[in-house]
Amino acid sequence: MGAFTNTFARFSGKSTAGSSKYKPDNEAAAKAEVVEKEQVQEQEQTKVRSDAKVKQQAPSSASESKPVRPSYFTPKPSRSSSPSSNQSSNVGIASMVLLLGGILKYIFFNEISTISYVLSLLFFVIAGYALAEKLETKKVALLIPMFAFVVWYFMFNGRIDPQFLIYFLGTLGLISLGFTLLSRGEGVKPEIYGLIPPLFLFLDQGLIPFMVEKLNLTLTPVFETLILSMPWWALLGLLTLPAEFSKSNFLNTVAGLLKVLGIMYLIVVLIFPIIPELGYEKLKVAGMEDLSAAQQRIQERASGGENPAISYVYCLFKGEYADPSGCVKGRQQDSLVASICKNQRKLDVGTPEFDNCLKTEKEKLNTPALQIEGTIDQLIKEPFSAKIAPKKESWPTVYGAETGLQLPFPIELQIKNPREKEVKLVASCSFEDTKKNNIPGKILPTSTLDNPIKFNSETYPGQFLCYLPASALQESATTPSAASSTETTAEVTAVQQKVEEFTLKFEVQLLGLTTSSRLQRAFVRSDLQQEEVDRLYKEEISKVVKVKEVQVPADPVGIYFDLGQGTGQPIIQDKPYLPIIVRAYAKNQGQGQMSHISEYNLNLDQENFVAAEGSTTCFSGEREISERERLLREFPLSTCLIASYPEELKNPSGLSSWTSKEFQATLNYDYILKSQDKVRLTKIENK
Amino acid sequence: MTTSKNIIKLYCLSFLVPLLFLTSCGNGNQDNLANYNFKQGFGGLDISFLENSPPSEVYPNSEFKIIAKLENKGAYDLKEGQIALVGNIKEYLDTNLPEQSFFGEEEPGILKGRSLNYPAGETAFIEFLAFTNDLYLNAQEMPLTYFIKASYQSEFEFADTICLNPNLYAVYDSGCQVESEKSYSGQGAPVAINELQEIMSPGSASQVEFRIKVGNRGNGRAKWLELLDAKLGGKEINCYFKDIGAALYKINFPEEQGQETVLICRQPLTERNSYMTSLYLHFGYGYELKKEQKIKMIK
Repeated sequence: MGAFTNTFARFSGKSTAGSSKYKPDNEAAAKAEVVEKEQVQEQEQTKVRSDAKVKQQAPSSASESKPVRPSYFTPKPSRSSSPSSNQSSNVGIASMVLLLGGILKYIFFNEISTISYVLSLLFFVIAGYALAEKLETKKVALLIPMFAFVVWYFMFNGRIDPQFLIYFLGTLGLISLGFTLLSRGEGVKPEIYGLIPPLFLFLDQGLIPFMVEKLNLTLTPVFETLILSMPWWALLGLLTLPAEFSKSNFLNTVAGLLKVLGIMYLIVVLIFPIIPELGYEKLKVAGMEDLSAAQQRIQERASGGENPAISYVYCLFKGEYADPSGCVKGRQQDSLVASICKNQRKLDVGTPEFDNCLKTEKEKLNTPALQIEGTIDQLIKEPFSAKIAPKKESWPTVYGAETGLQLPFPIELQIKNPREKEVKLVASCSFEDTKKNNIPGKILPTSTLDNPIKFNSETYPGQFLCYLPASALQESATTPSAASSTETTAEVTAVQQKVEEFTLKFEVQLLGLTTSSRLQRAFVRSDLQQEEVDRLYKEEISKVVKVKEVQVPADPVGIYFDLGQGTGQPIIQDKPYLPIIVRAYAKNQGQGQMSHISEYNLNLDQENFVAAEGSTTCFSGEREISERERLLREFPLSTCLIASYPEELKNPSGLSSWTSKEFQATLNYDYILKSQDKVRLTKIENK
Repeated sequence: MTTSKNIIKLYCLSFLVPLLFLTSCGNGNQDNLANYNFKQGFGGLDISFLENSPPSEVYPNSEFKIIAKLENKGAYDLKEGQIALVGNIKEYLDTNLPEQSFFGEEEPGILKGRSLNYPAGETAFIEFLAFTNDLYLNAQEMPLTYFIKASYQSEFEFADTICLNPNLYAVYDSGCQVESEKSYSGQGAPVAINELQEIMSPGSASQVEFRIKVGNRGNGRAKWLELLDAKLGGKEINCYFKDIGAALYKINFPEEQGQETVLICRQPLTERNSYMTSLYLHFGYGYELKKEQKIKMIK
């Protein structure tokens, strides 16, 4: 304000200091001077009022307004005295919270979870506050679009049917119009600002599922990764930071540059969806059964991949102008494979195991039978699971030389068998001493392959007791402990201690486990044109066949299979030039090892599908797994062509020109769980 | 304080006044039913369901009914009506009779349209007896989606009075003014004439060409359109669909061109002066409508 008065004074030809000393030569000039003085006084009063307002809003602000000067003197305002700087410090706090909180959320809570959801809602509110602080008047108008979004997204579940939208948007429009009229137009800007927090909440939590489920778009991997690899709340915090939030010009410049990049990124993300083949594929993906499933499925697919924008920049810097897309794809594959080996397999970078994993995972990408996408079946909330839980708190640590080690080592086996199928298990334990001698332990209850433990209850919290043979203690290489003998002045008795170390290995074989997975497909009439097929998919098929990949429960082993005319294509149409291919593989999804596949069955025989000649084991079979193969995670089962399938699927009759079908495959397998724990026993000998 | 009170009053008024207008938009005065023109708008077959038929949640290995209410809100009778339950994954949800015919009680095979006798159109009820199978593995619940799809044939008529002026070069003409383009708001069917373009070719061999845009304005999908009759001033006029050419009067709406087509009618004119005459077109069409339904199977 002071700058304005200063400029005005300059424009009027008067100096700011000592203007009262100016003596007009004539009446007109005197009148002009009076008018000018009145205007300056008015400006001063306005400044006083605004200063008072600022004092009310930020009473603890360190930079207080300077006292009101007489009208003949308008000082050059310092930065610290202007009301806007008081506001910018408050804006800075909320923006910094968004920026830092957004980064932390992205690092630690980026997966779909309740915490992530709650944090997003919290940032939603903080974002409103940050934006409100940037406004000068009618801040409450900012709440209108925010509240409307909350109502639309959470209460009405994001409905987009035209009839509902007419009423909803009409009502919202009336409310906005009313507020705009009452505020004489000042409410427009806050209302526009109020659209920003919902946009970012949408980008953070719901854009992908919304586009997939409501708009029925198949998103390209590029677009998915662009969405998932951006900490949106941090970006909003960055964008709402004041221009000079720091005393360092360098930091302010960097922040300004990042803001520009952030805005460009945001524009790209908002434009992408409408560009075919770039933001979405031609055929639409089915909607998900619920939002978390959609986001999780896409997260599983896209997680670990490098941000395509970064890959592209890297390839350009590397000089890959001839084939940038190939370079980007290669980098995406490398980063995805590295992420799998590091995060899923928990292998340390640089180890031979890690390098081996990189090689096998990359090979997998090029193996057709293994290139089957699948997703965790959201219907099976309780999969089969087995976990070894050593009861270390009850493990003996000391034993007397005369009495020997009497106590066993209890180990609990926690099995969840929600389908209440019969499970057989054989447990064993052994001890490995420091010389790498393996000593079989005695385990109770006993079980053998001929006489396994059987149960079919929903849970099995079975306890096993593993006994260390006495002979192992005699033969073990004992090492004197550091405090090997103690003597007291009163007693002659000397106590000698020896420490023995073993590795307790517990192994349980789970026999005859069964898992199942399902795959949905749509069979359309053979005489339909491609445009009609596309329309059917968009309007009908995608709403029934919501997941185009195989859905696999989170059991220790899953059977992944695909049936179709292209990888992951949900529509099958009888065309002589488009053969139907069946592919299947078993995947170890647990922490143990698969030891045997007693049977796999795609159940296509029962559906009257016929495999091409020579493919006797395509639809069913069994598979041995060698010791070396047990370290692998995927085991190809079958790949073959379909020679024929039922006529009612080739040409569905009746009013509908398509029919849906769900195929279910089963796998019977044996699984081995192992655990290894260090045991340190102190032998006490009294002499 | 007074100012804020006034603001509150103004705010309330700004809500109440539009609400007043909205509530007043009701069915309108239907006292003059006899004069009411049913052949307007884009009404057609409307599908709804009776409450709890189907229920929102069903149990495995159980039966339930899906009762569809079919109302003909168009101005013309529907015939060859077929309704089917489609898209269901039969491993979980199936029905004993997936496809049935529908018609009214007045006349077999016909569902009457809106008229003086049936101001709201005739209504038919169709029942599907559906049954569920087991849930998948140990799933606690499973959402299921299916469609109720209806297909029928119907017709609609278009009539308008238009001005023909073969003598465009005349400076003074006490006759009518040619309207080169006209728009319409439906003829009481979901397929309707939307625009009419009149192109006069004056001179010794004068002729008039009408370009008539016909398209789907309903909630379903038009399968085909057939020109049954075309008359200008009571005499047959030559017409053909632009997309298929002459000698064929039935067009299947192609997917890539959306649900609209153009009918071109040409007639040589013998009169020299402008005059008003009637243009009459009669179409038949095939239509398809579907409703998505979602239920949940719970344990």
